[in-house]
Amino acid sequence: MASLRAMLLMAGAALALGGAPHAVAATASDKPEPAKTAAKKPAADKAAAAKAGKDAPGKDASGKDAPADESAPAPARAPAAFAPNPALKDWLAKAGTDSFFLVLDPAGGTLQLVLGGVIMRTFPVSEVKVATPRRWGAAARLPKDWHERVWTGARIDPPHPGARMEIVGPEVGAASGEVLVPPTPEEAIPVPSLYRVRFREGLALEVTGGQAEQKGELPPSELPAGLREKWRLLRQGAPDLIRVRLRLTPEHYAEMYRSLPPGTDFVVLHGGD
Amino acid sequence: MRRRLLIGAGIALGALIVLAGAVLLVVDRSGYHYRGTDFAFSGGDRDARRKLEANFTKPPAKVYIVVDRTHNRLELRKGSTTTLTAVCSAGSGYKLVERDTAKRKGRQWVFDTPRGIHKVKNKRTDPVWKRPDWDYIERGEAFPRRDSDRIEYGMLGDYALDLGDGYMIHGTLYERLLGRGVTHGCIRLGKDDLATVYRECPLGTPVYIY
Repeated sequence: MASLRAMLLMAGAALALGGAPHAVAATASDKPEPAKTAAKKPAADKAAAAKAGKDAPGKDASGKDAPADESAPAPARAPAAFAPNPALKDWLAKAGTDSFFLVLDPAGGTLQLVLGGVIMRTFPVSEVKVATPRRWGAAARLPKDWHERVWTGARIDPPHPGARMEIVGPEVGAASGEVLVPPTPEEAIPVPSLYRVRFREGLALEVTGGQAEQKGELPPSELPAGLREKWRLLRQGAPDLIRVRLRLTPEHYAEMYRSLPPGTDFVVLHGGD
Repeated sequence: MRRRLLIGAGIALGALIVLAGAVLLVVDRSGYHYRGTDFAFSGGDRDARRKLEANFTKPPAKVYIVVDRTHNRLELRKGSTTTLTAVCSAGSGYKLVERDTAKRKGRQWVFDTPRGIHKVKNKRTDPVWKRPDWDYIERGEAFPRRDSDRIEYGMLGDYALDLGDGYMIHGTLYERLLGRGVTHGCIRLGKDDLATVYRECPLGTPVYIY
């Protein structure tokens, strides 16, 4: 079956695109970036927080963002014996600090959003599959240590809709007295039938909630979008070096889309092996 | 004859292309090869790795607060046990822009509840609210001449827990809006839930907001 599929793919790609150079489904540079060291992250976070804080007042705001908690659990010390992957060692040692992590536990069937050693939310995962792009019908090799890296800088695709709502203060004495009632989260952020959480180094979590089909196939109503994506794939190459497909319940699927903090990092646990 | 053959060959080729394209879409719409995988550890010190992994989930043994600012939900937890789940209101995410005037260049505020780890820095009963500039701007009111005119009583409910930089967990006069992001960055709770949170959380209680 696999060889038939490979032959069909090769024939299809060759015939449909006349052997165009862009018809290769994967880029040549398939090696993900090495995981970044931990040292830069907190500084970047603080800079971003300080920037946001300038215009993020609280009820009695002074115009500054709230600082990180001084009483946060202290970073754990990484045992010196853990040498094979120093970057990961650093990151793991920072797991108890103020970074957001998505932690996949394949043995436990959970994906957890963690901050400072505290589980913010647990999403039960009923299926985990891993994918690599096809090149001329053959699947690219899965890097052996992909699940031992830290994947950084989560970005949701498709992104949440719309820009911030902007209100211009009325002239003095000209207020209408009308109370603006914001939408509920469900109204404000509609959830697509398939979304991906992309990380800087080339890994993507492909999240399905039971509506989107297995194998990346889309419902008939989204066929045009699927065809466009296929066309883009053939022209530009695979957008992700590795995809990890996770199946969540519809409730958790929507919840994760709406509330996942941007910039979250991702790791896989091996406690059960 | 030769022309017919060429036309026939062209049609056949076209049909083949269409067929191959269709097959391609059906068999491999995603362009990716999916498979199951084992997550076996490839080497190194397994025990060390396990110890490090345990760092990811070390909740405080004492009471702490977790807030989902998107879904307007607050949880009071102790260890891994949730003792209270409450509907709250977090920041609206709106941006307020002040009109430019001769005296003042328009300032801007974004009403987000800040993500991250905070802690309860102060606790107050019958808190008063000192109205900040943005509240006057939002309502189209002139700024008062005296600071004392900014004070309002009862707006924050019975209790307030300060998280620093003006952010608080407090009560509200508008309980019907709980569950929606309506605040200017603070976290509002209903009367009973606020009383529980006030009672259960001592100074220094960690507050995790995501």
